[in-house]
Amino acid sequence: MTRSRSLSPVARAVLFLLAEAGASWSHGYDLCRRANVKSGTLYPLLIRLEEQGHLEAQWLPAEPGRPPRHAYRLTAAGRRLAIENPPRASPSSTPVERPA
Amino acid sequence: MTAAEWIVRRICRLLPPRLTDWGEAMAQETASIERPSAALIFAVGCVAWVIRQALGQALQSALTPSKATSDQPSRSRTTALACAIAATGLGLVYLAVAGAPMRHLTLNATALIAGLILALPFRRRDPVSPPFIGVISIALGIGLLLTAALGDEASGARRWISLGDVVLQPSLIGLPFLLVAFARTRNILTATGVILAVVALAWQPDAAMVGAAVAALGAATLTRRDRPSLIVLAVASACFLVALARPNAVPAAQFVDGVFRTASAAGGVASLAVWIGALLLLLPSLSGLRQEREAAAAHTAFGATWLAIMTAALFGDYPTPVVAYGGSAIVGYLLSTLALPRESHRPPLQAPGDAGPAPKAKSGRLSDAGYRRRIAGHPARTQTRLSSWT
Repeated sequence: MTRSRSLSPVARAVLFLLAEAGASWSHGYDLCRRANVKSGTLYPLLIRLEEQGHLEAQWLPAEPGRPPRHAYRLTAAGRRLAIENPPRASPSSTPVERPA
Repeated sequence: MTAAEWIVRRICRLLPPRLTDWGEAMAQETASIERPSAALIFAVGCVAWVIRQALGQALQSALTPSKATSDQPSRSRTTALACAIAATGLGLVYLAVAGAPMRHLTLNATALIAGLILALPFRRRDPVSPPFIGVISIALGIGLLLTAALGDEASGARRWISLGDVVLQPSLIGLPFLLVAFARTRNILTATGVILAVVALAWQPDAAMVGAAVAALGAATLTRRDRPSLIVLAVASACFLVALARPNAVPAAQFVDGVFRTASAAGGVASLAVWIGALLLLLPSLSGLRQEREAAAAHTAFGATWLAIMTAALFGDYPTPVVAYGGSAIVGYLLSTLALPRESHRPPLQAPGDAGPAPKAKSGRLSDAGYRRRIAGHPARTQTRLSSWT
Protein backbone atom coordinates (compact mmCIF):
# COMPACT_ATOMS: atom_id res chain seq x y z
CA MET A 1 0.00 0.00 0.00
CA THR A 2 1.30 3.45 -0.90
CA ARG A 3 2.04 5.69 2.01
CA SER A 4 -0.11 8.75 2.19
CA ARG A 5 2.60 11.03 3.57
CA SER A 6 4.30 13.35 1.12
CA LEU A 7 7.44 12.18 -0.58
CA SER A 8 10.88 13.44 0.35
CA PRO A 9 12.75 15.83 -1.93
CA VAL A 10 15.12 13.00 -2.85
CA ALA A 11 12.25 10.69 -3.79
CA ARG A 12 10.70 13.45 -5.90
CA ALA A 13 14.01 14.07 -7.64
CA VAL A 14 14.51 10.40 -8.44
CA LEU A 15 10.92 10.02 -9.63
CA PHE A 16 11.41 13.05 -11.87
CA LEU A 17 14.50 11.55 -13.46
CA LEU A 18 12.84 8.18 -13.96
CA ALA A 19 9.75 9.85 -15.45
CA GLU A 20 11.95 11.93 -17.71
CA ALA A 21 13.61 8.78 -18.99
CA GLY A 22 10.20 7.44 -20.02
CA ALA A 23 10.41 3.93 -21.40
CA SER A 24 14.21 3.93 -21.31
CA TRP A 25 16.01 2.10 -18.55
CA SER A 26 18.04 3.98 -15.91
CA HIS A 27 20.95 2.72 -13.85
CA GLY A 28 21.68 3.17 -10.16
CA TYR A 29 24.92 5.08 -10.54
CA ASP A 30 23.50 7.45 -13.16
CA LEU A 31 20.52 8.17 -10.92
CA CYS A 32 22.87 8.87 -8.01
CA ARG A 33 24.89 11.33 -10.02
CA ARG A 34 22.00 13.13 -11.65
CA ALA A 35 19.82 13.33 -8.52
CA ASN A 36 22.87 14.09 -6.40
CA VAL A 37 22.02 11.40 -3.86
CA LYS A 38 24.15 8.76 -2.19
CA SER A 39 23.82 5.13 -3.17
CA GLY A 40 22.78 4.35 0.42
CA THR A 41 19.80 6.65 -0.04
CA LEU A 42 18.92 5.62 -3.59
CA TYR A 43 18.66 1.85 -3.19
CA PRO A 44 16.24 1.80 -0.24
CA LEU A 45 14.09 4.22 -2.25
CA LEU A 46 14.19 1.99 -5.34
CA ILE A 47 13.33 -1.05 -3.22
CA ARG A 48 10.38 0.79 -1.70
CA LEU A 49 9.14 2.01 -5.09
CA GLU A 50 9.41 -1.49 -6.49
CA GLU A 51 7.56 -3.00 -3.53
CA GLN A 52 4.78 -0.48 -4.03
CA GLY A 53 4.50 -1.30 -7.73
CA HIS A 54 5.83 2.04 -8.98
CA LEU A 55 9.01 0.63 -10.45
CA GLU A 56 10.02 -2.26 -12.63
CA ALA A 57 13.55 -3.55 -13.00
CA GLN A 58 15.51 -5.84 -15.21
CA TRP A 59 19.04 -7.14 -15.62
CA LEU A 60 20.80 -5.88 -18.71
CA PRO A 61 23.35 -8.23 -20.22
CA ALA A 62 27.05 -7.53 -19.97
CA GLU A 63 28.63 -5.21 -22.50
CA PRO A 64 32.31 -5.12 -23.39
CA GLY A 65 34.09 -3.83 -20.31
CA ARG A 66 30.91 -3.70 -18.24
CA PRO A 67 29.23 -6.35 -16.12
CA PRO A 68 25.51 -7.12 -16.27
CA ARG A 69 23.61 -4.23 -14.74
CA HIS A 70 20.35 -3.71 -12.99
CA ALA A 71 18.14 -1.14 -14.69
CA TYR A 72 14.95 0.61 -13.65
CA ARG A 73 11.98 2.41 -15.11
CA LEU A 74 8.61 3.58 -13.83
CA THR A 75 5.41 1.64 -14.24
CA ALA A 76 2.21 3.46 -15.17
CA ALA A 77 1.46 3.86 -11.46
CA GLY A 78 4.97 5.20 -10.94
CA ARG A 79 4.51 7.77 -13.68
CA ARG A 80 1.28 8.95 -12.05
CA LEU A 81 3.12 9.21 -8.73
CA ALA A 82 5.87 11.25 -10.39
CA ILE A 83 3.32 13.64 -11.91
CA GLU A 84 1.59 14.06 -8.54
CA ASN A 85 4.93 14.70 -6.82
CA PRO A 86 7.04 17.03 -8.92
CA PRO A 87 10.47 18.06 -7.66
CA ARG A 88 10.47 20.90 -5.18
CA ALA A 89 11.98 24.17 -6.26
CA SER A 90 14.68 24.36 -3.58
CA PRO A 91 18.15 24.34 -5.09
CA SER A 92 19.26 21.36 -3.03
CA SER A 93 16.46 19.17 -4.33
CA THR A 94 16.66 20.14 -7.98
CA PRO A 95 18.16 17.35 -10.02
CA VAL A 96 21.60 18.24 -11.23
CA GLU A 97 22.35 17.47 -14.82
CA ARG A 98 25.94 16.55 -15.35
CA PRO A 99 27.69 15.26 -18.39
CA ALA A 100 27.86 11.49 -18.43
CA MET B 1 37.11 -7.74 -9.10
CA THR B 2 37.79 -4.21 -7.87
CA ALA B 3 38.24 -3.40 -4.18
CA ALA B 4 34.97 -1.45 -4.14
CA GLU B 5 33.00 -4.35 -5.62
CA TRP B 6 34.69 -6.77 -3.21
CA ILE B 7 33.65 -4.61 -0.25
CA VAL B 8 30.06 -4.38 -1.43
CA ARG B 9 29.85 -8.12 -2.08
CA ARG B 10 31.21 -8.99 1.35
CA ILE B 11 29.03 -6.56 3.24
CA CYS B 12 25.91 -7.56 1.29
CA ARG B 13 26.14 -10.98 2.91
CA LEU B 14 24.59 -9.27 5.91
CA LEU B 15 21.39 -8.57 4.01
CA PRO B 16 18.34 -10.70 4.75
CA PRO B 17 17.42 -13.20 2.03
CA ARG B 18 14.66 -11.04 0.55
CA LEU B 19 17.25 -8.34 -0.25
CA THR B 20 20.19 -10.43 -1.40
CA ASP B 21 19.37 -9.80 -5.06
CA TRP B 22 19.38 -6.07 -4.45
CA GLY B 23 22.81 -6.59 -2.92
CA GLU B 24 23.87 -8.24 -6.15
CA ALA B 25 22.48 -5.27 -8.07
CA MET B 26 24.56 -2.86 -5.96
CA ALA B 27 27.69 -4.97 -6.40
CA GLN B 28 27.31 -5.12 -10.18
CA GLU B 29 26.59 -1.40 -10.36
CA THR B 30 29.75 -0.75 -8.33
CA ALA B 31 31.70 -2.94 -10.74
CA SER B 32 30.42 -0.93 -13.70
CA ILE B 33 31.81 2.39 -12.43
CA GLU B 34 35.04 3.14 -14.21
CA ARG B 35 36.64 5.69 -11.88
CA PRO B 36 37.97 3.90 -8.77
CA SER B 37 37.33 6.87 -6.47
CA ALA B 38 33.71 7.16 -7.66
CA ALA B 39 33.24 3.43 -7.27
CA LEU B 40 34.57 3.62 -3.73
CA ILE B 41 32.22 6.48 -2.81
CA PHE B 42 29.33 4.53 -4.32
CA ALA B 43 30.42 1.44 -2.34
CA VAL B 44 30.66 3.38 0.92
CA GLY B 45 27.06 4.57 0.47
CA CYS B 46 25.93 0.98 -0.14
CA VAL B 47 27.88 -0.28 2.87
CA ALA B 48 26.33 2.35 5.15
CA TRP B 49 22.84 1.35 4.08
CA VAL B 50 23.51 -2.39 4.36
CA ILE B 51 24.87 -1.97 7.89
CA ARG B 52 21.84 0.08 8.92
CA GLN B 53 19.55 -2.53 7.35
CA ALA B 54 21.40 -5.44 8.98
CA LEU B 55 21.39 -3.86 12.42
CA GLY B 56 17.67 -3.15 12.13
CA GLN B 57 17.03 -6.70 11.00
CA ALA B 58 19.25 -8.05 13.77
CA LEU B 59 17.40 -6.11 16.44
CA GLN B 60 14.07 -7.19 15.03
CA SER B 61 15.02 -10.86 14.85
CA ALA B 62 16.33 -10.75 18.41
CA LEU B 63 13.29 -9.09 19.89
CA THR B 64 10.50 -10.57 17.79
CA PRO B 65 9.78 -14.27 18.13
CA SER B 66 9.21 -15.81 14.74
CA LYS B 67 6.08 -17.88 14.28
CA ALA B 68 8.15 -21.00 13.79
CA THR B 69 9.96 -20.64 17.08
CA SER B 70 7.39 -19.05 19.31
CA ASP B 71 5.03 -21.95 19.83
CA GLN B 72 6.96 -23.80 22.50
CA PRO B 73 10.26 -23.35 24.26
CA SER B 74 12.96 -25.80 23.27
CA ARG B 75 13.08 -28.96 25.39
CA SER B 76 16.89 -28.89 25.27
CA ARG B 77 16.96 -25.37 26.61
CA THR B 78 14.42 -26.17 29.29
CA THR B 79 16.53 -29.16 30.37
CA ALA B 80 19.66 -27.01 30.35
CA LEU B 81 18.00 -24.30 32.44
CA ALA B 82 16.87 -26.91 34.96
CA CYS B 83 20.41 -28.36 35.06
CA ALA B 84 21.87 -24.89 35.60
CA ILE B 85 19.51 -24.19 38.49
CA ALA B 86 20.18 -27.61 40.07
CA ALA B 87 23.97 -27.34 39.61
CA THR B 88 24.04 -23.85 41.09
CA GLY B 89 21.98 -25.13 44.01
CA LEU B 90 24.41 -27.99 44.55
CA GLY B 91 27.24 -25.48 44.33
CA LEU B 92 25.62 -23.47 47.11
CA VAL B 93 25.46 -26.67 49.18
CA TYR B 94 29.18 -27.21 48.59
CA LEU B 95 30.05 -23.61 49.47
CA ALA B 96 27.93 -23.71 52.65
CA VAL B 97 29.35 -27.06 53.80
CA ALA B 98 32.93 -26.02 52.96
CA GLY B 99 32.55 -22.87 55.05
CA ALA B 100 32.71 -20.28 52.28
CA PRO B 101 31.81 -16.70 53.25
CA MET B 102 28.12 -15.84 52.91
CA ARG B 103 29.07 -13.25 50.28
CA HIS B 104 30.16 -16.09 47.98
CA LEU B 105 26.79 -17.80 48.28
CA THR B 106 24.95 -14.52 47.75
CA LEU B 107 26.96 -13.71 44.65
CA ASN B 108 26.35 -17.12 43.06
CA ALA B 109 22.62 -16.91 43.78
CA THR B 110 22.54 -13.37 42.36
CA ALA B 111 24.38 -14.56 39.24
CA LEU B 112 21.78 -17.30 38.77
CA ILE B 113 18.96 -14.79 39.01
CA ALA B 114 20.76 -12.38 36.66
CA GLY B 115 21.41 -15.18 34.17
CA LEU B 116 17.79 -16.27 34.26
CA ILE B 117 16.65 -12.68 33.73
CA LEU B 118 18.91 -12.51 30.68
CA ALA B 119 18.04 -15.95 29.32
CA LEU B 120 14.34 -16.40 29.97
CA PRO B 121 13.08 -13.68 27.57
CA PHE B 122 14.91 -15.51 24.75
CA ARG B 123 13.69 -18.96 25.75
CA ARG B 124 11.18 -19.14 22.90
CA ARG B 125 13.38 -17.31 20.41
CA ASP B 126 16.41 -18.25 18.42
CA PRO B 127 19.20 -15.69 18.56
CA VAL B 128 21.40 -17.88 16.36
CA SER B 129 20.15 -16.57 13.04
CA PRO B 130 22.08 -14.58 10.46
CA PRO B 131 22.89 -11.73 10.40
CA PHE B 132 22.22 -11.21 14.12
CA ILE B 133 24.56 -13.98 15.25
CA GLY B 134 27.34 -12.68 13.00
CA VAL B 135 27.17 -9.23 14.60
CA ILE B 136 27.05 -10.78 18.09
CA SER B 137 30.02 -13.05 17.31
CA ILE B 138 32.18 -10.15 16.16
CA ALA B 139 31.15 -8.11 19.20
CA LEU B 140 32.06 -10.98 21.55
CA GLY B 141 35.43 -11.44 19.84
CA ILE B 142 36.21 -7.73 20.12
CA GLY B 143 35.06 -7.75 23.75
CA LEU B 144 37.54 -10.50 24.60
CA LEU B 145 40.30 -8.65 22.75
CA LEU B 146 39.54 -5.52 24.77
CA THR B 147 39.67 -7.59 27.95
CA ALA B 148 43.10 -8.92 26.96
CA ALA B 149 44.28 -5.37 26.25
CA LEU B 150 42.61 -3.34 28.99
CA GLY B 151 41.31 -5.82 31.58
CA ASP B 152 42.44 -6.36 35.13
CA GLU B 153 45.86 -7.93 35.41
CA ALA B 154 46.88 -10.62 37.91
CA SER B 155 50.20 -12.50 37.81
CA GLY B 156 50.72 -11.64 34.16
CA ALA B 157 47.23 -12.61 32.97
CA ARG B 158 44.48 -10.21 31.86
CA ARG B 159 41.24 -12.16 31.96
CA TRP B 160 38.98 -10.05 34.13
CA ILE B 161 37.07 -6.80 34.28
CA SER B 162 35.85 -5.06 37.41
CA LEU B 163 32.35 -3.70 37.80
CA GLY B 164 32.48 -2.04 41.18
CA ASP B 165 33.26 -4.75 43.71
CA VAL B 166 32.38 -7.54 41.30
CA VAL B 167 35.08 -9.08 39.12
CA LEU B 168 33.85 -10.76 35.94
CA GLN B 169 35.59 -13.13 33.54
CA PRO B 170 34.12 -12.21 30.12
CA SER B 171 35.46 -15.35 28.43
CA LEU B 172 33.41 -17.56 30.73
CA ILE B 173 30.34 -15.46 30.01
CA GLY B 174 30.57 -15.15 26.24
CA LEU B 175 32.79 -17.88 24.82
CA PRO B 176 30.53 -20.93 25.41
CA PHE B 177 27.63 -19.16 23.65
CA LEU B 178 29.94 -18.16 20.80
CA LEU B 179 31.25 -21.71 20.33
CA VAL B 180 27.81 -23.34 20.32
CA ALA B 181 26.50 -20.67 17.97
CA PHE B 182 29.41 -21.23 15.59
CA ALA B 183 28.77 -24.98 15.62
CA ARG B 184 25.30 -24.21 14.27
CA THR B 185 25.91 -21.24 11.99
CA ARG B 186 29.25 -21.28 10.22
CA ASN B 187 29.95 -18.27 8.05
CA ILE B 188 32.63 -15.64 7.67
CA LEU B 189 31.24 -13.47 10.46
CA THR B 190 30.87 -16.18 13.11
CA ALA B 191 34.26 -17.61 12.10
CA THR B 192 35.84 -14.17 12.46
CA GLY B 193 34.24 -13.78 15.88
CA VAL B 194 35.66 -17.11 17.08
CA ILE B 195 39.10 -16.35 15.64
CA LEU B 196 39.17 -12.97 17.42
CA ALA B 197 38.13 -14.74 20.62
CA VAL B 198 40.80 -17.45 20.54
CA VAL B 199 43.51 -14.92 19.65
CA ALA B 200 42.37 -12.83 22.64
CA LEU B 201 42.45 -15.89 24.92
CA ALA B 202 45.98 -16.77 23.81
CA TRP B 203 46.96 -13.18 24.47
CA GLN B 204 45.38 -13.04 27.97
CA PRO B 205 46.58 -15.95 28.31
CA ASP B 206 43.93 -18.50 29.30
CA ALA B 207 44.83 -22.02 28.25
CA ALA B 208 41.67 -23.45 29.83
CA MET B 209 39.32 -21.38 27.69
CA VAL B 210 41.35 -21.81 24.48
CA GLY B 211 41.33 -25.52 25.26
CA ALA B 212 37.55 -25.34 25.56
CA ALA B 213 37.44 -23.66 22.17
CA VAL B 214 39.60 -26.38 20.61
CA ALA B 215 37.42 -29.09 22.17
CA ALA B 216 34.18 -27.49 20.98
CA LEU B 217 35.48 -26.76 17.49
CA GLY B 218 36.93 -30.25 17.20
CA ALA B 219 33.64 -31.80 18.25
CA ALA B 220 31.69 -29.57 15.89
CA THR B 221 34.05 -30.40 13.02
CA LEU B 222 33.74 -34.11 13.65
CA THR B 223 29.97 -33.83 13.57
CA ARG B 224 29.86 -31.68 10.45
CA ARG B 225 33.08 -30.96 8.55
CA ASP B 226 33.38 -27.86 6.39
CA ARG B 227 36.02 -25.29 5.49
CA PRO B 228 35.15 -22.59 8.07
CA SER B 229 35.31 -25.08 10.93
CA LEU B 230 38.64 -26.52 9.75
CA ILE B 231 40.19 -23.05 9.44
CA VAL B 232 38.91 -21.90 12.83
CA LEU B 233 40.00 -25.19 14.43
CA ALA B 234 43.51 -24.73 13.02
CA VAL B 235 43.75 -21.17 14.37
CA ALA B 236 42.36 -22.25 17.75
CA SER B 237 44.87 -25.11 17.99
CA ALA B 238 47.73 -22.71 17.26
CA CYS B 239 46.42 -20.30 19.90
CA PHE B 240 46.14 -23.20 22.37
CA LEU B 241 49.81 -24.02 21.87
CA VAL B 242 50.71 -20.34 22.37
CA ALA B 243 48.68 -20.21 25.59
CA LEU B 244 50.23 -23.46 26.84
CA ALA B 245 53.71 -22.08 26.19
CA ARG B 246 53.01 -19.32 28.69
CA PRO B 247 52.80 -20.78 32.20
CA ASN B 248 49.70 -20.09 34.25
CA ALA B 249 51.13 -18.12 37.17
CA VAL B 250 47.78 -17.08 38.61
CA PRO B 251 47.60 -18.47 42.16
CA ALA B 252 44.68 -20.75 42.97
CA ALA B 253 41.76 -19.01 44.69
CA GLN B 254 39.95 -20.85 47.45
CA PHE B 255 36.42 -22.04 46.55
CA VAL B 256 37.12 -21.13 42.89
CA ASP B 257 40.05 -23.13 41.52
CA GLY B 258 40.81 -26.80 42.04
CA VAL B 259 37.46 -27.43 43.71
CA PHE B 260 37.24 -30.97 42.33
CA ARG B 261 40.41 -31.77 44.25
CA THR B 262 39.65 -29.89 47.47
CA ALA B 263 35.92 -30.59 47.91
CA SER B 264 36.55 -34.00 49.42
CA ALA B 265 38.41 -32.32 52.30
CA ALA B 266 35.15 -30.62 53.25
CA GLY B 267 33.35 -33.96 53.53
CA GLY B 268 31.36 -36.40 51.45
CA VAL B 269 28.35 -34.12 51.04
CA ALA B 270 30.44 -31.31 49.60
CA SER B 271 32.28 -33.65 47.27
CA LEU B 272 29.07 -35.31 46.11
CA ALA B 273 27.43 -31.93 45.52
CA VAL B 274 30.34 -30.78 43.34
CA TRP B 275 30.53 -33.94 41.24
CA ILE B 276 26.78 -34.35 40.71
CA GLY B 277 26.48 -30.66 39.89
CA ALA B 278 29.30 -30.93 37.36
CA LEU B 279 27.78 -33.98 35.69
CA LEU B 280 24.42 -32.21 35.47
CA LEU B 281 26.06 -29.52 33.35
CA LEU B 282 26.80 -32.11 30.66
CA LEU B 283 23.34 -33.64 30.66
CA PRO B 284 21.75 -31.29 28.05
CA SER B 285 24.35 -32.23 25.46
CA LEU B 286 23.28 -35.89 25.55
CA SER B 287 19.78 -35.04 24.32
CA GLY B 288 21.24 -33.64 21.11
CA LEU B 289 23.03 -36.76 19.97
CA ARG B 290 19.89 -38.17 18.36
CA GLN B 291 19.11 -35.02 16.43
CA GLU B 292 19.95 -33.98 12.90
CA ARG B 293 23.47 -32.74 12.09
CA GLU B 294 23.17 -29.03 12.87
CA ALA B 295 21.48 -29.70 16.19
CA ALA B 296 23.86 -32.56 16.98
CA ALA B 297 26.85 -30.31 16.23
CA ALA B 298 25.53 -27.64 18.59
CA HIS B 299 24.84 -30.10 21.42
CA THR B 300 28.23 -31.77 20.95
CA ALA B 301 29.99 -28.39 21.02
CA PHE B 302 28.00 -27.45 24.13
CA GLY B 303 29.06 -30.62 25.93
CA ALA B 304 32.67 -30.41 24.76
CA THR B 305 32.98 -26.79 25.89
CA TRP B 306 31.83 -27.43 29.44
CA LEU B 307 33.64 -30.76 29.71
CA ALA B 308 36.91 -29.06 28.68
CA ILE B 309 36.42 -26.23 31.18
CA MET B 310 35.79 -28.80 33.92
CA THR B 311 38.79 -30.88 32.84
CA ALA B 312 41.01 -27.79 33.09
CA ALA B 313 39.63 -27.17 36.57
CA LEU B 314 40.27 -30.79 37.50
CA PHE B 315 43.92 -30.82 36.47
CA GLY B 316 44.94 -27.16 36.75
CA ASP B 317 44.30 -24.02 38.75
CA TYR B 318 41.36 -22.84 36.69
CA PRO B 319 37.82 -21.93 37.79
CA THR B 320 35.40 -24.79 38.37
CA PRO B 321 32.24 -23.77 36.53
CA VAL B 322 28.86 -23.19 38.20
CA VAL B 323 29.40 -25.41 41.26
CA ALA B 324 32.24 -23.25 42.64
CA TYR B 325 32.34 -19.61 43.63
CA GLY B 326 32.03 -17.36 40.58
CA GLY B 327 29.08 -15.83 38.80
CA SER B 328 30.59 -15.56 35.32
CA ALA B 329 30.32 -19.29 34.63
CA ILE B 330 26.73 -19.39 35.88
CA VAL B 331 25.69 -16.56 33.57
CA GLY B 332 27.81 -18.03 30.76
CA TYR B 333 26.20 -21.44 31.11
CA LEU B 334 22.71 -19.97 30.99
CA LEU B 335 23.59 -17.85 27.96
CA SER B 336 25.14 -20.82 26.17
CA THR B 337 21.83 -22.69 26.45
CA LEU B 338 20.30 -20.00 24.22
CA ALA B 339 22.53 -21.11 21.37
CA LEU B 340 21.08 -24.61 21.49
CA PRO B 341 18.57 -25.22 18.72
CA ARG B 342 14.99 -26.22 19.11
CA GLU B 343 14.23 -29.92 18.83
CA SER B 344 14.92 -31.23 15.38
CA HIS B 345 14.97 -34.96 15.51
CA ARG B 346 16.69 -36.98 12.83
CA PRO B 347 14.15 -37.52 10.02
CA PRO B 348 12.99 -41.10 9.57
CA LEU B 349 14.62 -43.05 6.77
CA GLN B 350 12.68 -42.89 3.54
CA ALA B 351 11.12 -46.10 2.35
CA PRO B 352 12.30 -47.35 -1.05
CA GLY B 353 10.10 -45.99 -3.79
CA ASP B 354 8.78 -43.23 -1.58
CA ALA B 355 9.71 -40.09 -3.39
CA GLY B 356 8.64 -37.93 -0.47
CA PRO B 357 6.90 -34.61 -0.83
CA ALA B 358 7.10 -32.91 -4.18
CA PRO B 359 9.76 -30.19 -4.31
CA LYS B 360 8.47 -26.68 -4.00
CA ALA B 361 8.12 -24.75 -7.19
CA LYS B 362 10.89 -22.20 -7.62
CA SER B 363 9.91 -18.66 -6.91
CA GLY B 364 10.52 -15.91 -9.39
CA ARG B 365 13.63 -14.87 -7.52
CA LEU B 366 16.62 -14.80 -9.79
CA SER B 367 19.95 -15.66 -8.26
CA ASP B 368 23.29 -14.40 -9.51
CA ALA B 369 23.99 -17.70 -11.22
CA GLY B 370 20.42 -17.79 -12.48
CA TYR B 371 20.48 -14.49 -14.23
CA ARG B 372 23.94 -15.14 -15.64
CA ARG B 373 22.62 -18.35 -17.20
CA ARG B 374 19.62 -16.54 -18.60
CA ILE B 375 21.71 -13.76 -19.99
CA ALA B 376 24.05 -16.27 -21.56
CA GLY B 377 21.11 -18.04 -23.16
CA HIS B 378 19.37 -14.91 -24.44
CA PRO B 379 21.30 -12.26 -26.25
CA ALA B 380 18.37 -9.88 -25.91
CA ARG B 381 17.56 -8.18 -22.65
CA THR B 382 16.25 -10.52 -20.04
CA GLN B 383 13.20 -9.27 -18.25
CA THR B 384 12.99 -9.93 -14.56
CA ARG B 385 10.16 -8.56 -12.55
CA LEU B 386 11.49 -7.57 -9.18
CA SER B 387 8.03 -7.78 -7.68
CA SER B 388 8.54 -11.49 -7.31
CA TRP B 389 11.63 -10.92 -5.18
CA THR B 390 9.83 -9.64 -2.14
